[in-house]
This record gives sequence, structure tokens and C-alpha cells, in this order.
Amino acid sequence: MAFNVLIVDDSLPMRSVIKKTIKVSGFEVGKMFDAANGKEALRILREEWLDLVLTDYNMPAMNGLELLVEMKRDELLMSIPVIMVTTEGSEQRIKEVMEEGAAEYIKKPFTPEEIRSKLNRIMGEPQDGEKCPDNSDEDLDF
Amino acid sequence: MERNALTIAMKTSISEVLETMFFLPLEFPDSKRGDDLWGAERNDVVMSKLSFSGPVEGYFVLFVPENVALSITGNFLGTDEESVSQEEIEGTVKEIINMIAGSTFCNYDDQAVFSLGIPVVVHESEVARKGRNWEEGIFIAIHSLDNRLGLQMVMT
Repeated sequence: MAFNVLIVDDSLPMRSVIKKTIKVSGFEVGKMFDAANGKEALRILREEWLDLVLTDYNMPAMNGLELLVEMKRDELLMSIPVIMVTTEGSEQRIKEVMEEGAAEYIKKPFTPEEIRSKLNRIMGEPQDGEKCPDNSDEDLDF
Repeated sequence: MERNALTIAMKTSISEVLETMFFLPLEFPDSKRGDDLWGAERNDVVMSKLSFSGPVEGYFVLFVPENVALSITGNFLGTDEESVSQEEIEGTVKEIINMIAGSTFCNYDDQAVFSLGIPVVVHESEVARKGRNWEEGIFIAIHSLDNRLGLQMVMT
């Protein structure tokens, strides 16, 4: 079943790279949305049906942690898994984010395989028909 | 912060970011000044600055020649250089400094909590660049094939 994804990052190139990584990850992806900060993300989350959120931590207006907290307070959004994709890598920061309810944590810089493996853990393995070819990494631009 | 350990953490982070996400082969020459890399007259260097706070405060500045910034942005996005926008170039350079800074602190001490600011592109006049104090903080020269980049970390 296709799932809809929201990517939240104030970096336009990073949003683009994460989108491409997900597209070639082997999962059947439905709609992909993107937002430049937590406030934009919340607006989209309240208008669209989303199955997964990947968010940066460090953003203007509303950061990834504030977005996560807002989502967990909202009974319509609290069950959507959130993956934090960030440069903030201290143990305390990771602990803080996981305690607030993040489903996973990916540290930048990441490899396509790291994204794929976290998606597998949260969304389940892609169905046979969805599996990407072994050389799928060659399709990636980083 | 211990200078040698910090220098190692910075170099490790530069390698992690530029090699992992941008596939750039790297060397770290001994140059201690940006002028050694680009010459004092060069004005076509994209600079991005990122402030940080925590156990100590300061900022990083990343120096990327425009042609290199264009090339790595095109490669990163998988598009032709002709179709790369200025916004995408600046976004890529800002993302690089963001990842290097976060990784530096994590490599230096993953128990310490640092808060990173929002990276910005800075436009420094030639006069100001000539007056830049390259001896301040730690400056790391980065060679990637024929390209010359630099990273300076200053504690305030």
C-alpha cells in the first residue's frame, strides 16, 4: 500500500535529496509533501492524510522538536511516525527526541542505506513487487 | 576545548560530510590562511556562517569557491549545472556547514550539548576579506582534486 510522506527541512537541496532517496528506497510512495519549518508542516498535516514525517531538528520558526511535541499533543496526528533527520548528534539530544516520541533518529550526513533501513523498521519491508533493484544506489545523486 | 582534538574532530567531520554525501576526495594541506588558497584578490568565494552555543560559544565559516559550489550542488541534486539556481547553491553550502558543525561537536564529545544557529550566507567585501584574521581560531584548508575549500572555527 502506498504511503504519503512529509519532509520538513529548511534546506531546499536536503528536501530534494531525501525525496529522491525515499523514491528509490523500494517502497510504494503515494504523495510527497515538503515544508521548510514546523509551522508549515503542521498546516500540511492538518490538511492532508500523511503516513510518515521526516523532519530536521534545527529550523527557523518552529524546530523539529517543537513540531514533534505539537504532533504528540494532537490526537489526530499523534500516531503518525516521525523520523528526526538532523546534524544534532549528542546523546542527550537523541534521548530528548526519542523521549518526546520520535520513531527513529537519523544523523546527517546519512547514506541512502540508513534511510532505507529506518523506513524498513517503521513501515515494514517493501512488498516483493516493490523491491528496488540491487543497483538502486546508482540512481542516487549522493 | 582542546585544540588538537578539535582539529581532528573538524577534519573527521569534513571527511564524513564531503566524502559521504558529496563523494569528494579530500586532502588537508598545511595552509593556515585562506589567502594561501585563493589569493587575497579573489572575490568569488561563497561563504556560509553558522553560530553555535553551549559549553563554549562561537561560529564556523565555510569558504567554497563559486565554481565548486555550483558543481557540488549540481551533483548533490543530480541536475545539470545550467539548471542550478542561486538558492540551491546557497542552500547546499549552508547544509554542508550545518552538517560539518553538528558532526564536529559529536565527534569531539557526544556527551556535550551544543545548539547550532541557522546557517546564513555572508557577503564579505574584498577589503574585509583582506583584513580577515586567519590566525583566529582554527583554520583548515581543504583540497579536493583541483578545488580549494576552507573551514574556520572561531570561539568568541
